[in-house]
Amino acid sequence: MAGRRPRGLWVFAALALVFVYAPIAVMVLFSFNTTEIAVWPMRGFTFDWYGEMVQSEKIRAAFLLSVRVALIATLVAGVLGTTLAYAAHRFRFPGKRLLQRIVLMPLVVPGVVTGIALLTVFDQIQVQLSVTTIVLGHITFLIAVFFTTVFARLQGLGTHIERAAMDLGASEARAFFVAVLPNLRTTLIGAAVIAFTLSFDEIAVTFFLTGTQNTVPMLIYSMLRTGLTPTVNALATTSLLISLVPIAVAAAVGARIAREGRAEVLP
Amino acid sequence: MSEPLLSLRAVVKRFGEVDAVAGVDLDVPRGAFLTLLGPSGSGKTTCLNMIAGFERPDAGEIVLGGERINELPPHRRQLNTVFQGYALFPHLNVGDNVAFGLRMKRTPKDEIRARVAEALETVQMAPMADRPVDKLSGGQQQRVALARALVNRPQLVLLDEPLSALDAQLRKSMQVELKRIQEAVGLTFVYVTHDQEEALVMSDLVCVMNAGRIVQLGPPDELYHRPVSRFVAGFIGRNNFLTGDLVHDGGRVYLALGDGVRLPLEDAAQPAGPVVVAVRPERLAITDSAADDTLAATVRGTRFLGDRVEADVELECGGTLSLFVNGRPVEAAERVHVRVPAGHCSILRADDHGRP
Ligand SMILES: Nc1ncnc2c1ncn2[C@@H]1O[C@H](COP(=O)(O)OP(=O)(O)O)[C@@H](O)[C@H]1O
Ligand SMILES: [Mg+2]
Repeated sequence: MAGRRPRGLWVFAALALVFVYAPIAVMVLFSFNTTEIAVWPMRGFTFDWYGEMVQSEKIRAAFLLSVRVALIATLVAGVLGTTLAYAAHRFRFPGKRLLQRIVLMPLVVPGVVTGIALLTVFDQIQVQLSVTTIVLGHITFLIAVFFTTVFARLQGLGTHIERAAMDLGASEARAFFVAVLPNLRTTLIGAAVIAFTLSFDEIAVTFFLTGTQNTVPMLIYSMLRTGLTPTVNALATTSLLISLVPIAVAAAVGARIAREGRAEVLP
Repeated sequence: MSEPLLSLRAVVKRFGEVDAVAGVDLDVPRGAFLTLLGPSGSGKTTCLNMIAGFERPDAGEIVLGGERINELPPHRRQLNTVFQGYALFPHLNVGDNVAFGLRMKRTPKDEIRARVAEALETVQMAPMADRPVDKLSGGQQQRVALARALVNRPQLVLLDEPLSALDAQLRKSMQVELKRIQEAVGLTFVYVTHDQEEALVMSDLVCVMNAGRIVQLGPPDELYHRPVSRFVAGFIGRNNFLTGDLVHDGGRVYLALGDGVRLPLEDAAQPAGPVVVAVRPERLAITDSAADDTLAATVRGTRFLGDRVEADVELECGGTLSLFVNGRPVEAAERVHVRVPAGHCSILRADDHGRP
C-alpha cells in the first residue's frame, strides 16, 4: 500500500460518511434553529424547543414510559435469558438444539411479524393492550440478546468452576451464585445496555402492542403527522444522546470483556 | 492393616453403549498415595468423578470412612479435588481462591486468615496471596489449586492429571514436591495419570487400569518386576516379549521357542501351554560363549544413549530383543549370545485379558 494512495477510495469513504452522518447533523442543528420552519441557513441559536419539549406533558409521559418499559423488559429478559443459557450450558436434555435455535428467532424475525403474531394471541385470549403487552413484546427479542452473550461467556468459562465450587462445599444452586454469576458480571452489563437501547428505540413491535400510551419513538411518529417541527428534532436529538450513552458504556465493557477473554487463554 | 479410608466395591458406570467403568474393586489405605494409571479412555476420570460425586455409579458402592456415599452430593463429601486444568475461580485472587472452601463452611474470619496463610506457605505461594489468578504461570496455578484443596483438611484429596499441562522439567520437580507435601501433611491422595513414569516415581500403590477394569494393583516395584499380564508388562517401563510354549521336562520348566530352542525358566508351578515371557532390557547381557540360558542372535544396530548403549538383536529362533551393552562394544551384523536370566523372566499367559 506504500507509495500510491488510492485516492478514489478515500473520496468514496468520505461520501459514505457524509451520507450517514450529514442527516443526523442537520437534524441536530435544526433542533437549535430559531425559526419554526426548517430552512437553511439557520436564522439563530436557541434552546426554546428543548424547553418546549421538557414542558410538554405528552413528551414527559412518553419518556417515562419508554424508560419503564426498557427497564422492566431488560430485567425480565435478563433473568430468563441467563437461566435458559445456563440450562443449555449445563444440562443435556431433549430439544436442546431446538431451543438454541428458536430462542434466537425473534431477533431475526421482522418486528412487524412479531407484533402481529403477539397481537393475534393477545386478541385470542382477550388481553387488553397495555404497558404489559409492550413489555412482553420487547422481552421476546431481548431474551435472545441475553441468551447469546451469556451462553458464549459460559462456554468460555467451562463447567469446571461450578464443579470446583461444589467440591469445596457449595450446593449446586449456591455454586451458580458464588462461582458462575460473578464471572458473568461484565457480560450481563454489556447485554443489559444493548437490551435497554434496543427496547428504547423499538417501534415495529410496539406499534402493534401499545394501548393508549405512547413510547418516545411512537410519539415522534405521531407528532410527524402534523409536520416536522423543531420540537421533534429536539426530541430525536435527545433520543440520540440517550442511545449514545449505552453505546459508550458498551464499548468500555466490550474492551474489558476482550481483555478478560485474552487473559483466559494465557497460560 | 486398618480399615481402608476409601473402598470401591463392584462399581460400574456406563455411558450409553460404553462401559466406562466395568466393575472396579479397590481399597485405598489411609495415608497412601495411590495412583490410577492407564491409557486415555481407560476410565480413570470416571472413577474419580464417582468418588467426588459428579457421576453416580450404575452399580456397586463407594464407601468413604466407613460410610456409603453413593447418594451423597459432592458438597457434602469429606474430600477435595485438584482438577485437570486447575479450575481456579477467575474472579477471585489467590488468597480468596484458597479461602473459598472455608467460607462455604462459614469458618470464622481469623481462622480463615490463618489457615489460608498456612496452606499458601505449604505450597510456597505465600507472597502471591493478592495476585489475580490469571496472572500466574501454570506451575503457580497448580500450587494454588493444591492449596485450595489442602486448606480444608479433607480426609482425601483427588488429583486428575494435575501435572499434564506443565512442561517436562517443571513436571519432574512438581512430582517430587507433591510427594513431599503429601507425606508432610499426612493425607491420602488418589492420583490419576496416564504417565507410567510419573506413577512409579510418586506412588505407594499403583492401580493399573485398562478398558474400565483394574488389571493390577501393587507397589511400583512389584508392578515393574512382577507384572501379571502382558498389558502391564508393556505399559510400565520397557520390555521384551518372547512367545512360545511352556514345557516341563525332568522336574524343570522351559520355554520352547522355534527351531527346538529351549530356554530354562524358574517357576515350575506354571502349567504347560502357550505363554509370553517378558524380560527387561537391563536384565539381558551379551556373552561370548553359548550356555544353557543363552540365545544365539545377530546384532542389527546400536544406539548411543549417553549413559549407555542400546542394541537391537535378532534371535536365530525368531523375534527381536532390545538390551543394554555394558561389556565390550558390539557392532552391527556381529553374531552374539544373549543371556536371559531365568530369575528375571515374568511368565504371562498368552491369552490374558489385560490386553488392550
Ligand atoms: N460424560 C460422558 N459421556 C459419554 N461418554 C463418556 C463420558 N465420560 C467418559 N466417557 C467415556 O468413558 C470412557 C472412559 O473415560 P474416562 O473416564 O474419561 O477415561 P480416562 O480418564 O481414563 O481417559 C471413554 O470411552 C469415554 O469416552
Ligand atoms: Mg481423564
